[in-house]
Amino acid sequence: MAEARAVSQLRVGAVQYFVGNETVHATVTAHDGGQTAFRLCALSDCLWNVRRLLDTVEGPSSPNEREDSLRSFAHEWGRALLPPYSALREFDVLVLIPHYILHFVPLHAVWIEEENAYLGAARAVSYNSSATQFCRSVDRNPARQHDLSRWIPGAADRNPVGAPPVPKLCGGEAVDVIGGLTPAYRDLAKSIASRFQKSYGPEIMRFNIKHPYSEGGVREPTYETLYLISHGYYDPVLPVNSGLLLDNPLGGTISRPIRVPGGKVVHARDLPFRELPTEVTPRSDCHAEMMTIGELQIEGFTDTELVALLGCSTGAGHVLSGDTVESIAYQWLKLGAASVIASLWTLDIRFITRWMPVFLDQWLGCRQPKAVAWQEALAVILNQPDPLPYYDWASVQLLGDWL
Amino acid sequence: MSIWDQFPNYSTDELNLLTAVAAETLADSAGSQIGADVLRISPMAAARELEPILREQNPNVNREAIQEILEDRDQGSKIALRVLDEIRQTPALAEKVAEEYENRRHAMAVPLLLLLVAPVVILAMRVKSFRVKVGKNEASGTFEKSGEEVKTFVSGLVSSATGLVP
Repeated sequence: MAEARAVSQLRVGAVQYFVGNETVHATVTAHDGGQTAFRLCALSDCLWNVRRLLDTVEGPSSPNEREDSLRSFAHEWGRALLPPYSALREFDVLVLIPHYILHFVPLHAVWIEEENAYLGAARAVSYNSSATQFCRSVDRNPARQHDLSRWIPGAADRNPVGAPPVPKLCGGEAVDVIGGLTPAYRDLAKSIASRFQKSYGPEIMRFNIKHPYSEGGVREPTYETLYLISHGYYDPVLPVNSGLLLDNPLGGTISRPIRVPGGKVVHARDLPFRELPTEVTPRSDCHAEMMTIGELQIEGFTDTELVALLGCSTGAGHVLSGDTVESIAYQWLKLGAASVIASLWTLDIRFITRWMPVFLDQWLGCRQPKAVAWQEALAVILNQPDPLPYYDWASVQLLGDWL
Repeated sequence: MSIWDQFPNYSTDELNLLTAVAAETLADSAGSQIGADVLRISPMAAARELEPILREQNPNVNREAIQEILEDRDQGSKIALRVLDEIRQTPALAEKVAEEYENRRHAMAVPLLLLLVAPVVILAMRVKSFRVKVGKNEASGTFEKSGEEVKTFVSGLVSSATGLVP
């Protein structure tokens, strides 16, 4: 049971990685600004292992191979990718800023022998692509406008005190455009929506995200939480074409009003940004289309506290210059979300249906910071009598602000 | 209802997934007999591996003809269904494949683009014995005879499709 402490008293540390030509380094920055640099391992020692791990979890592989690969990472070679325990022990929250290939490695799944727990269950963890991106997520987080010294999260036996107002408004879409899992997707959506005072379906959500410029030019506020429960698609050839398979209830691309000289308004429509992937044959009763990274680069904004991208490979991507990561998860952070939940590889609807309510109860009910809620949810799920496959739980990440 | 109940009437998506799951299950069930790398084998590499095996039955078979068969959707589907039929007749393996298929059906991913016929046919011929865990029970058995049946079928298919009569 977590002790009653104000959020401002949580000890936060950042671990910033640097993958050099020969060596992997990490710098640990403490709450007081003190920094310590560590040489973690030779690149040659870990590169093959990392590539092998990523090939296994992202490509064709058998269940045993995936489990063996993730177990070996968690209990053997993965430990070399973390600073020594003595440097991490003092922190409650770790902000991980990976570099290069490490962006796609589930560091929270590394076993911490000293605490008899996986890192993600022992510490609250959030991932960020760079220090700048982390700072931008922090700046945008509405929860940060609150006095953190008065905010004491609750637990099973006590209510939260002095916490910021609970996010009340959520919007989202749950759609299985291929068919077969529609009831499961809808059940999860209902479970999420039931934890908010108001929730809206795809029509309004889509409108507010994709049509921010009204004829009057005023931006309306968006939702405090967004969820998208759908099939995810990662395009390894052209990652900017990766995204989520959604149902566009507007029945076509959105009409955009453009004011022309003389005061008239003309309405223009953008073409879809990509066709559906060849392998997707959508149900005939929905207007399936992809929400891609490319599309969100052109238009979209949000000021939501959390976006839950509950689909496969929403955290998968590739690294651009400046260590920007091109993934649908990071694209939502760039649009303005404070935090994002995403999956590095395949996501199992049964797992996320168990995990998500626990996370939301911790975040919304106990008013834990999101990374602490994520940690608590993982600990609860891992504490079940039947052990879960690594492949199910290790893929889920919290990105952006930890609060 | 099991995925086997509708054999052999599968949609493209179902056949792609069932074939992939069958290949993965065969790879796992073989233990250390076979590395899981075979799941990533290309049709070209698979043809190279199959050539000496199929030549035992038809000396005129060549690598190009085998590769052509493995890359052809219709011919590949016939091979996949033949391997699946052998698995279907091996109760413990069939049950394990059905269990894994059900697990994979819950992935929030798009359907598989390709029919992984090359891995499944290689595995069907190479796996001699298997051990699987279905639920909490373990079962084992042999698959050698099934592998021979698959070999004969593929050899015949290559011969009839290319006119390379033995």
